[in-house]
Amino acid sequence: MIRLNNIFVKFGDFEALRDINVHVKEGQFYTFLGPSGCGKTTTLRTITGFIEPSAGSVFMAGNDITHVPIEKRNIGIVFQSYALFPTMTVYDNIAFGLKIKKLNKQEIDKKVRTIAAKVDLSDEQLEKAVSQLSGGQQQRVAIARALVTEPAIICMDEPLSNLDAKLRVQLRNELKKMQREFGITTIYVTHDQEEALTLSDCISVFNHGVIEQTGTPNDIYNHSQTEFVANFIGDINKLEGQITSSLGLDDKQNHFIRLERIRVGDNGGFEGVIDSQEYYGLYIKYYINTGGQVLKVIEKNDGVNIYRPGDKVNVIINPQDIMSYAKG
Amino acid sequence: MKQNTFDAGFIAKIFGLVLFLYLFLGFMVLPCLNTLTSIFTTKNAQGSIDPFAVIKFFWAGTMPSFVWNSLKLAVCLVITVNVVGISIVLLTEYFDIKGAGILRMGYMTTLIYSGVALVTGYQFLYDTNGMLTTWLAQMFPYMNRQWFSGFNAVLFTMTFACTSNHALFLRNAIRGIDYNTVEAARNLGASPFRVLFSVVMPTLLPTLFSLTVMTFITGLCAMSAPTLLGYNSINPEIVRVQCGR
Ligand SMILES: Nc1ncnc2c1ncn2[C@@H]1O[C@H](COP(=O)(O)OP(=O)(O)OP(=O)(O)O)[C@@H](O)[C@H]1O
Ligand SMILES: [Mg+2]
Repeated sequence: MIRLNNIFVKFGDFEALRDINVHVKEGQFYTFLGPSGCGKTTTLRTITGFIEPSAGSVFMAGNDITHVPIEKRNIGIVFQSYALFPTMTVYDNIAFGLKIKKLNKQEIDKKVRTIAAKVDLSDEQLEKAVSQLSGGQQQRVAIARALVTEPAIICMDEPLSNLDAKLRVQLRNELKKMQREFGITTIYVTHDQEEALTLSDCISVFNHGVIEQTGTPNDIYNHSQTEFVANFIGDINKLEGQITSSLGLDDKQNHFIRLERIRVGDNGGFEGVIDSQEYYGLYIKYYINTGGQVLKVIEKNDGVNIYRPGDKVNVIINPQDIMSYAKG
Repeated sequence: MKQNTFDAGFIAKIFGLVLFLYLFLGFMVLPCLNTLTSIFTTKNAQGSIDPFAVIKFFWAGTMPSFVWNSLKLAVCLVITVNVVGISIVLLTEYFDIKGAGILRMGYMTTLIYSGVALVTGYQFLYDTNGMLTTWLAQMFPYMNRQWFSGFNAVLFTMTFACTSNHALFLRNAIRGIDYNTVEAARNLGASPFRVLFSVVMPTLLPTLFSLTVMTFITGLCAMSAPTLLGYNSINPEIVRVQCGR
């Protein structure tokens, strides 16, 4: 559907993107994930046409669109700030793209009302000024405005980051439901790893203008290809000193293990003492002192085996769960 | 303790209220009342109080032509200032053009000159013995050396004087626009001009309206440019009449 081939983008001397390759398949929910300033928005803007790459090409459905102007690309966008037109009503905001396409009044009305119903906007809300809507409602208007012209693909740049945590989770689920319902190819930008893992079919992890890894959420999480990805996604322990040597691990590499992959038991493995405990209900997080270092461990809360600070435990590490990267 | 803070807050409130009333009455209500009173109690030529004396003054003799001249200046100024101001702001802020910075600087420097200094500056350039006039006269010996006077000269000078204020406010308004809305409109298929008229301009309308009113009043009350460049508008005439007594 969308293919980026060896894209480079420069702002003056600053190389914002280096050799970016992305392949988004039809109907996929594809996420660009990475820390602030790593080039996610820049990549998205290259796809939508606001930025022309200094090298490389953009393909859409097999056609080279690298130099096709923005308005001819048929790509919908949902902005982080929503970018609704402040002087128009909700209805006129959604109808804007259709008016430009010179559809007749009845057709516009039918399309606007159909899409509004799909994103849960009432007739009453359609007549309001955009400033009278809540953040979540404005976001739905932005999505409706982007979808009403039936684009081949929709791009969303951190569409949930202006909302509070609870609403974010709620709208995240709605977003996924809508995407399945419309079956529309979606490119999604976020710096929130949880959002990326729960929503995506495929994720590209960005860092300093390059893609570190592309894969399914499980690939990214359980088979992180680089140290950066391993650290950026989820929490992780870096194994040190005594543990690495007793496990016979290569000391030219850094070794990591996820919190939930370490088990706490009564025998085997390493001996340790519970340093402290954080009780989350669903699970319990322990800080276990193994002599050499403190390991973070997550245990399912089974209601029976709950350890207190000072308890002596055994820490069991399965060598297969260790992710190793060359020291650089 | 509680009693104390209440007292302090109360005193501050009273003080604020008194200050506000003083400013409001002293600088807004009283001057207006004063003006209105003197308008309706002015003595006419016969020496008796006539409520319509001031209105009659504007209709007597050659006065209507001065009033008309002022109105003409104000209306024309509104048009020229809006046209020049909007173009300047759009050229330097909205469209990407080369040399925008220099253009902007040029306009903004007129902000530091007061009216008289500005007109004197223009006269230095364009007057009968001005630099530009002298230079032009050398090339075209038969040209009219007094070309820079009257209505057109006043309109020209005042347009540039007023545009800097106009552009200053308009520039802030245009910078306040969420640029993503422009991009969103472009993305939905609108041409740059369509975006300008359906997205950018409506947002600027309130600012443009106040600027138009401001410019109109400036034109109506113009003093230095008409006086120095010889244009018979009402304000210089009122001063002349007052001084001539
Ligand atoms: N128009 C521009 N001119 C110069 N530098 C730019 C421009 N746009 C972006 N950059 C730089 O390019 C880099 C990548 O920016 P980008 O906006 O793509 O980051 P991002 O990954 O979207 O970050 P965030 O999560 O903060 O939105 C940043 O270092 C930024 O400073
Ligand atoms: Mg961004």
